[in-house]
Amino acid sequence: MKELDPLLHSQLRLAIVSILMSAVEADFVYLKEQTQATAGNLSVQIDKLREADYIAVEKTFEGKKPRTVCRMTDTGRRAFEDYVQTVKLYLHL
Amino acid sequence: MENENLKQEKVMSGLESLEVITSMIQKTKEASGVHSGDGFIVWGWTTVAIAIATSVACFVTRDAHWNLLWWLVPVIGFPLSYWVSRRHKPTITTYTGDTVNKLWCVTGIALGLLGILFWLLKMPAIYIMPLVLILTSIGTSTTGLIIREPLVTWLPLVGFCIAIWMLSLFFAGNYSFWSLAGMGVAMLVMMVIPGHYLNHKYNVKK
Repeated sequence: MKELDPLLHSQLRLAIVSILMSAVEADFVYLKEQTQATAGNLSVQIDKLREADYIAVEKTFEGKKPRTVCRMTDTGRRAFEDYVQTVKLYLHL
Repeated sequence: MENENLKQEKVMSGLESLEVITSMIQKTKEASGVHSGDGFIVWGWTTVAIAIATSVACFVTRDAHWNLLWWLVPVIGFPLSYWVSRRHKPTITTYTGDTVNKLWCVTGIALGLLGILFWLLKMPAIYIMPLVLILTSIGTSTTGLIIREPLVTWLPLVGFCIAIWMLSLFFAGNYSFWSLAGMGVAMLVMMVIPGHYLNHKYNVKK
């Protein structure tokens, strides 16, 4: 049987990607609130997803405050859809 | 509060994976509704206040020039809605929210064009009110359909009916300053009530 994508088969990274799949974009503050992860851990996981080109990260400034915005890439969308299909196969759905 | 489960690279079962996905999608759906009524409230209350002021001023002075007060709607509405949107800047942009924003952008342009065309073609300004009501009621109803809120979808029909009533009065020559107050009543029903309803529903859940 097909292996589950190890990059997505982690609770926090899967939570991040699930949020981004249902949105045009989300900022770091929102992701932190919804996943209830620490800022440090969230940053690490976002970096992993960005390195795999699953998500795009844009760092901007709003006034003097830095703002990090994340959105899914086409590669990430395909990976997520494959992941969901594989999970369904495992569960015989 | 920190969720210990999410701190680590926890090994999940297939079922847990689906639970995480479903839970995050649901949370996002709920979060996208927070402050979604702000626009309705700002534009609704602004128009209601101006409608009352214009109707009273026209009635007391018997001078139709007070209708120029209607220009205060965009003059007050735009800065106020900009200020509110800066205060409650969303941390997420959903596809639904994006579609609703674009819908109101098109509706806003249509309303602007309506004002410009009336001015260029020297049409009687009084007819602009029911047309504004018809356009905004279509905008509000469409918003209700997109966000799947029956109250927001159906209440604007009241505004539509008031618009037709205003048109019938104007065509029959039964113009009355008080018919302008119909604009205020319509905006109260089709914008203010849906706005407060949406904010109450989603901000309570937050």
